[in-house]
Amino acid sequence: MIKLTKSELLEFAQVFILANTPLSLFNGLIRCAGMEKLRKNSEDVLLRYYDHITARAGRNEIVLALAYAVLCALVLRARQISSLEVDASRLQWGQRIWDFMRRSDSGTGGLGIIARQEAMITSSNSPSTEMRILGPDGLPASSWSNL
Amino acid sequence: MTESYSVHQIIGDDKWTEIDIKDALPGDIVIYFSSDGDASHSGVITEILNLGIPRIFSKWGSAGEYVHLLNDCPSFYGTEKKFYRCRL
Repeated sequence: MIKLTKSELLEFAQVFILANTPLSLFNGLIRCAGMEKLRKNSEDVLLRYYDHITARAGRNEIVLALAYAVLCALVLRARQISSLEVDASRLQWGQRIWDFMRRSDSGTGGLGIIARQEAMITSSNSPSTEMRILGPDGLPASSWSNL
Repeated sequence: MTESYSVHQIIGDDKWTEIDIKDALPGDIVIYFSSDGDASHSGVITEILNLGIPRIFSKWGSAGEYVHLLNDCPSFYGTEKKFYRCRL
């Protein structure tokens, strides 16, 4: 059984109400405090919970926000388990979130940052001039000791 | 078709051209992009305040329409903003 606090549910609902696009809804929900709690559950528990919520009559903003949040948790899980299937079409933006985010590594809030390392080395040897190392100011490196 | 593709197509079809924030005037539009480059929000500039900060009129999902400063909106709309003017 997944238990969320009232403030966590309200945060999901706030994002659900404010989101303009499926992707902004996804990006907002995965940054909510309650998402961490959802993601700790296995895919079986999340799937059962998703089925339970989306089968309910009388949906309101909180129920819908929670359903989208569980779907987002399943999307993140599906990136690791490719066989995971969910009937995302039960939610209006569900299929678009599922289709796009499942095949995308984006939108996870910078969970992994790869630092780009570049080394630019240029050299030129002129047979007529003595080889020397120049600093960023264009002066020979030997002149640095004079600074 | 992604939201960004649709937005860029509309901007191109309707002859909106990107402008710098310092050139923005009332009537120009701003589009907010998420960190992955998707257009997540848009609004119309209603006023440029003394420090050059635009005041925006925009719709926040189903919560209604708001007049707000450029950065006074939900953070998940994204931090990157681009400004456009219609050249028709």
